[in-house]
Amino acid sequence: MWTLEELEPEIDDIRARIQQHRRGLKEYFVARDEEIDLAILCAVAQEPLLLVGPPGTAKSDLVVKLTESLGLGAGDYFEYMLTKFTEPSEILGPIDIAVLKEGRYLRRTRGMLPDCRVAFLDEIFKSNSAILNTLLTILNERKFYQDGQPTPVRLVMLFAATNDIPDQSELEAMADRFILKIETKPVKDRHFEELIDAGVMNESYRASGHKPWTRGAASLDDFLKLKRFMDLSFGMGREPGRDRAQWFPRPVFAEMRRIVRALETEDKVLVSDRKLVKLYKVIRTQAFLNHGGAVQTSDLNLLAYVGNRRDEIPVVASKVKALLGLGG
Amino acid sequence: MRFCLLLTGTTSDGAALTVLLEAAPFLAERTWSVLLDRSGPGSALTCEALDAVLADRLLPRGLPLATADEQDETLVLTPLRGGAPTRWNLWKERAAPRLVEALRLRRLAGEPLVDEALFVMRSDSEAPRLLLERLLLLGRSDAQVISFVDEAAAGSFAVKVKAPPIYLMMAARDGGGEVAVYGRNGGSPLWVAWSFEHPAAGPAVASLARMNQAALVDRDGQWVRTPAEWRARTILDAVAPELEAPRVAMRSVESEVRFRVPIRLAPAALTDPDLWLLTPELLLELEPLIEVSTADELSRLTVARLTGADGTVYLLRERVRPGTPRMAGRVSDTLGVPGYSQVAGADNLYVPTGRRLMPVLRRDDLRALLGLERAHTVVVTEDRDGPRVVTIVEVDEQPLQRWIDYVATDRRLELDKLLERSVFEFPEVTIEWPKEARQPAPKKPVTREGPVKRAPPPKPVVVEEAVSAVDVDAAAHLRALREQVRTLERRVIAGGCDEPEVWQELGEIKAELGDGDEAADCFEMALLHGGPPYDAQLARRLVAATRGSDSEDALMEWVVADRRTPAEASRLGASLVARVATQRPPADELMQLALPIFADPRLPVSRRLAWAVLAGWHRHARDRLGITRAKEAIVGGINERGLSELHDLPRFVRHALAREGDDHANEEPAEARGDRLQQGQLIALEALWHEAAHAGLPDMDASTAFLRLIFAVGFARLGARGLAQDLIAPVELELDVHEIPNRALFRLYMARLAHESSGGSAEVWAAEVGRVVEGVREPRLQQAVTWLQKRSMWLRTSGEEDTVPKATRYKLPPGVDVSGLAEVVSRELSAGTRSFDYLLAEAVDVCVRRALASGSDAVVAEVLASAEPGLGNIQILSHRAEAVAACIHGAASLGDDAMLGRLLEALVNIARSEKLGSARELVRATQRGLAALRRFGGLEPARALLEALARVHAYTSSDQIALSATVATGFVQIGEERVADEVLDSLCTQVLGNGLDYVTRAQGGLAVAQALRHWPNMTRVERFRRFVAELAAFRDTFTASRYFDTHKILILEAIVDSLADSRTRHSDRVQGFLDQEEHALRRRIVTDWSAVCGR
Repeated sequence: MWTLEELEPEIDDIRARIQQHRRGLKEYFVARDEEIDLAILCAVAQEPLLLVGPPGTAKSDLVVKLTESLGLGAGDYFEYMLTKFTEPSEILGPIDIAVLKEGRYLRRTRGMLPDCRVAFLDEIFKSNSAILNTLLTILNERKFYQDGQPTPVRLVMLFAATNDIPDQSELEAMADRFILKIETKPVKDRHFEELIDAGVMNESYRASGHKPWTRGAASLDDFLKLKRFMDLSFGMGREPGRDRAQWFPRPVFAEMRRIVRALETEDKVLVSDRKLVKLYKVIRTQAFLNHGGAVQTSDLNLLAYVGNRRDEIPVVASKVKALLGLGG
Repeated sequence: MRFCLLLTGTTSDGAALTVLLEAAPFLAERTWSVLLDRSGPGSALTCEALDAVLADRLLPRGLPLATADEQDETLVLTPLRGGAPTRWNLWKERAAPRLVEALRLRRLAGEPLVDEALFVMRSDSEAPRLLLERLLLLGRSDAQVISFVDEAAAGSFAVKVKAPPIYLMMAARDGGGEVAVYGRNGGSPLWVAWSFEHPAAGPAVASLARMNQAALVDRDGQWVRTPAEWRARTILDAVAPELEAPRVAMRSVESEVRFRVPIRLAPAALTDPDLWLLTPELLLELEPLIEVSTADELSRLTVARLTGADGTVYLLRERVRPGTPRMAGRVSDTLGVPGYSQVAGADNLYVPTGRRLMPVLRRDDLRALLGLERAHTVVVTEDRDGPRVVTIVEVDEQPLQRWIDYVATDRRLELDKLLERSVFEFPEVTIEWPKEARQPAPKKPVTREGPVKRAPPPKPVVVEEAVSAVDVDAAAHLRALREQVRTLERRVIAGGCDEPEVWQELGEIKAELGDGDEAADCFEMALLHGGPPYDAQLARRLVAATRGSDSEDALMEWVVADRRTPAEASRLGASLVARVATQRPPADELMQLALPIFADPRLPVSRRLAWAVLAGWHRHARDRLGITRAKEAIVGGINERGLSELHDLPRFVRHALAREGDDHANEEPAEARGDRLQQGQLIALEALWHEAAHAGLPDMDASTAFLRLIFAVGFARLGARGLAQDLIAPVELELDVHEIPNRALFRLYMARLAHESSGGSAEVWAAEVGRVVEGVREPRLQQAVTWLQKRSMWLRTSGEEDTVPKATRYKLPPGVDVSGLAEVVSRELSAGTRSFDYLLAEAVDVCVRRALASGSDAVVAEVLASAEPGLGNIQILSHRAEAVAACIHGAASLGDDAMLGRLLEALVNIARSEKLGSARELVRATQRGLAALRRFGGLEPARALLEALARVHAYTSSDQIALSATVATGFVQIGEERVADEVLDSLCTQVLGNGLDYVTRAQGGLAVAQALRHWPNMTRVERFRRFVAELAAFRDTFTASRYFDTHKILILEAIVDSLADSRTRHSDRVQGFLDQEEHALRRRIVTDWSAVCGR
């Protein structure tokens, strides 16, 4: 594991490469800047991201291109479309029959979710209870249980997509694990011509097997290093409040508090304690990634993605933008 | 040195202040100096009156008194009780004219919500503009602005906001003091700094009230007093909007430009189709429907054979009768084709169901474009090349019944029945059949051009010959099987049956008798009641009975088909159930396609089979979410559509229910049973006619003529056309001697008679009615004719029917899904709503129906919980009754007995209320409530409601009669015929008694006639005898009474119509069985779901 001293000399270069990587990726999409910014940030912060939107709004394409651009090795990426009929073995790996004969219940995880670094689960809320419970453990504790024993997973980035967030109590726990959720909307009304042109180019790339986006400026290591740097910097000084005092100016912190309070009281958005702490860290990470310094009011735009329910997401997004406009 | 009272800024200060004012009340109105600790919440209050003497007197009462000394800008507070002095390095002093104004505010935790906020700032700063801009950006144009001027003429600007944005309050509080924010709850005149509270709010408010003032109190407790009333303006009055943009003006000019616009078919809402264009092969697909339809239903379908460039095509049309359930859905389900619907505003133009012509044209343009004037019918069809216009110039439509010949066919079941009966009746002879009848002819030859008019039933040729032992054995075996079937059928029909073994046994025998369809029904029942995991052997039997398949190819073919006939859908379902039951589940990919098919409530299979497919698979997959969704889909479908007589009722049950309690009818074929039923009605009508004619039938008497005509229509309807003609012959002869309006009315009845006899088209009859009415030139006389014509149930044409259900006027807000229904209903029913009561009732109805259609008990419960508390806000009781009925529907589906009890009580109270305007809605609500209770197995609550309503004395006689008729019908429908008879007897006595006015008596008579439709024929006749005998009691004083007696005519019509009606009672019995089945199916679904989900 890298130390702070090892990372400090190169951290600005890493930041610059990831920024360049982000700009490069945007060239292959039309009007998806917001989604790409968020995906890159979640990749750095290692927080799961949920893309919510109707079919055909580039949810899968975005994640696939992002992961391809990271130059992952074979077996580092796992992608699956979940249905009501998907069985745990399709995600976690089949039961090892040879070991089963010895009375042990082990899965062969090679090439499956527990073995990969980056995963994309499409239609995540359509999966059945068994898979959802396993995913909860993986997201919370970064481990899953083999024959009753916790086994660490290598997963660092999880992206998920869904057409809808069903309003069912069985699914609330999973929905809550996604700190940030973004609604992907069709862009054809505003970008009709660009969309056609980009789509044709994409088809052409696909037909020729050419993937220019894979020449990304940053590698998976860059993302991991930045995350490590942030983790180390959060703990510097081992003194409560020091990180906030140094990196989160009091007026901006007050603004964050005002917005969270307004969302909770006026829009009944549930911001749990765990979510609030994670939000702080994600905002800090975004600030560092974008300008290498203290949090600015504009970094609070991440609060626009804390809506939980399908109908909340657009309401929260517009409310936060309006409130930030007032503060600005 | 000053003496002071020490306050800590906590709730304990309250006790100290109370003690102080008890001991020295005069201090309340003295001037005080307040010493404030700037680094804490504490304060010290001093007063000139609080001297050493008073301090000595107060100290024993436990007050926190101290001396205050200033030492080098530090305030030293030394408690009089001893102890270490307290030092305030940062402090300030202010004066207060009375004690209540000397108190410092107490800080509240967090950011409390307040009803109203007041933002106060200097009017000459930037703050007002910024605040107004922010409020407008947040859409808060409801805020108000107030300007204040103090004694020194310095201006302050204030903005008052209800339900204030917490963001702006926090921003003001966190800011540098440029904007002060105050809050208040309710209409208090005391505004305190936001997130603080006044320690003595009660006395403070009282003090302000005494002086008719309001006050703003800052966090240090400093008061600013103002008059109680403020001159407030809207926020929009305080802004001067600006838009700097160049302006361009334009004007319109005339234009002659015309554009060529192609007409096309575009998607539209699905409606019931009105006609179908069928190939000869497709026409034959109607056979299953014909087999299970009544003669009356078939009489509504007409067929015409057409030829043209496409070869032979059959035009099948449903003649829609107002108030009669449409057949279109069943026809389309049977044929597997959607059909064509009439275009609104163009009588003879049809487009595919679910499509419409786009763009919408003016009617004249449409007529010219499609040649509607020159054609009888124009159908716009559609294929891959786009729309095609099929113009039908002439058409000769005949009732479908004329195309049907019932024969003893090659079908084994009918032959067996006949054979068995013959052996039984003639043991010494054997039967020789015509050779062609023995040949198993192909059922639907592809080469046939249309339905072949089949041969009349073959007469058995009796040959005197000794019977062979083999024949006798076979016949005896058959007889034994049929006896077994009858025994089992009686058992399952008597009260429903949930024993899988009984259903399986019945299915096996039916299979042996060669009746695959009925065997399949029985096996489905056995599977359903057995529950998953399904018995493999039973599932295989179901596959055999439905002629299903085991092969992947066949399954895939059925699954991916664009549409499936009912038989194909059943085969697919049976095959899927069998594959899962036999541990050879189909591939996941196939099931992903198949499951939505069976979750669709429109699939033409029984709901039990659909559930078996879904439950079997999800149990196999142990998918709790999956089975939850399946449960919601099936239960939602049932809630929305109920069970289908065609698909969910086994055929033999339908036939058995058609019998009116005659066991011997078992052996009759369906047609014979129908004939016998009609015969019974004919006998009943004849008996009544003799009763009516008993008093004499004077010639040239208008009343006699009406009597003859009305009975003639009834006889014609029952097929006794000769008798009908005999009855009207005298009227035809004496027509000219009657008054002009009566002449016209007689002609109208004759036209109705011709219409009933011929089963002709409704349009032709309506045109005839129009001609006769128009033929009366004199307006006054024509008015007399239309007076009766519009009130008569037989002379009213479809355009004047009022039985068409009114469209719902309430629309759900856009974007609301099932999870938002509770909020919608809660909002609509909230106390401050401004909506009309009828809209509120409809809102409840719409939300409950939508919740039921979701199939989720949680959603239904949520909607009901939101609706119930607000029902009292619907002021008009008749509308409240409708909303209560909707909730009863929902509560019955949940089986929530407690809520049902409350709702039923509410309904009864409405019925009792003298404020009930009209009983019509109450009757409708009661009927709906009862139907729901029956459907969901709530017979006890239904009985309780009826008993309660039976004891209700409605405020008006007319309401009482309508209610009693409903109660009587309700009792008969839940099987309490004895009680029903008692209620009806009492009702009849009331109607024929002396206590009613003419109109109420007539309404009562009509209600009784309507209710009696639910009784057996003979009971109807007995009751109607009294009515006919006392017909004179139904008088009226209408202007038209110089020509005819309106009430007598209407009562006679209702009586005859009721006697010639076989449908109502039959459908009661069918519905009763379906209700039982639905209840059993729901229980089964919940049991299966619970087993998988472990709840």
